[in-house]
Amino acid sequence: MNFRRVLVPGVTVLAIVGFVALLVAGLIIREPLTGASGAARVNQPAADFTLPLLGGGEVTLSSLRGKPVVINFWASWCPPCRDETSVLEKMWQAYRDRGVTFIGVDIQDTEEAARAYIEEFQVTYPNGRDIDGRITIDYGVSGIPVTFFIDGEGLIVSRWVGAVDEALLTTRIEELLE
Amino acid sequence: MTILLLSAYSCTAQQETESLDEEAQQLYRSLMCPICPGQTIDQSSSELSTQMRLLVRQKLEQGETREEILLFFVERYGEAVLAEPDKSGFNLIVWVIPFLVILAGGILLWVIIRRWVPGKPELAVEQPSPAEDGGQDDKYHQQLESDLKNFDERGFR
Repeated sequence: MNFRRVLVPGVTVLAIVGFVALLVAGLIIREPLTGASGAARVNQPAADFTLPLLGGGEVTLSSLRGKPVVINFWASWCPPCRDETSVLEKMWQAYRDRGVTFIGVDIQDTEEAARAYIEEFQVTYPNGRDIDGRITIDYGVSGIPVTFFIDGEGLIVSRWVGAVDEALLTTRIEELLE
Repeated sequence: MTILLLSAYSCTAQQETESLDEEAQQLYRSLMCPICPGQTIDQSSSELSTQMRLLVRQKLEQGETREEILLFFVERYGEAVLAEPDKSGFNLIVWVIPFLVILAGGILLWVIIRRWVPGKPELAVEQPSPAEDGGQDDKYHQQLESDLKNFDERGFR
């Protein structure tokens, strides 16, 4: 068998079949943007919002200009959110005297479930529900939990998708305070 | 007169609403649901998709153009939120390359197949030499003459 006569057509057929398979796969397999939650907003100005709080009152992000802000998106039905809430509360208590503000944004939840969640974890930093989803969309949130770290000038310096821990929060907050 | 004016206004308003609906539907089909694999926001029943549809509608009513609205979502979710890649710049490659590759592959296959197909085979007929051909004819001729002569004398048996 002439190896050369088989190699060229063989490689050609393989290349074409491979390309068509890739094309079909690309059309069929469309992964959600969950892992890229908030990615497009890093190094961009943090969108301003006014959030009605579960405990009454409201908070407007622009009123906190000049101070570092940590914004955490969560939901009561989200398991990794439950893993990190105690940590967030602990770090809020540790850094509040240094001017750092924590804000929790509850998404796709009922008010009853949100209130029960706050009560369960004894959360004391401001939390509110994003009822019309505008804050969720403005921050490019496609998966939770996601936490944004905003400096005193209102720039989103970084973000983290998934449950945060003490070490991560410490590192990111210290960067904001520098 | 007043009734005519009101009727005209009503028709115009209805036409504008239908036009807005159509434009909104086109935009829904142009935006991917960020949390649903492979679904546009008109296909998805998720809360986020519902909220995005409402926001699209609001923006259209506020006079924003299709391009402005798409850009709004791209700035927040990246270009992956678009159902179709933008037909400009680097993304143009995505639209052109598949056709080029298929065309090139087709041409290459045609060339290869042409090489595979052999030419018309020649019949391997052994042609006798002139001397042999003439000698055999004489032999058969003689045999034929002999048989005919016998037939004439004896007939069928």
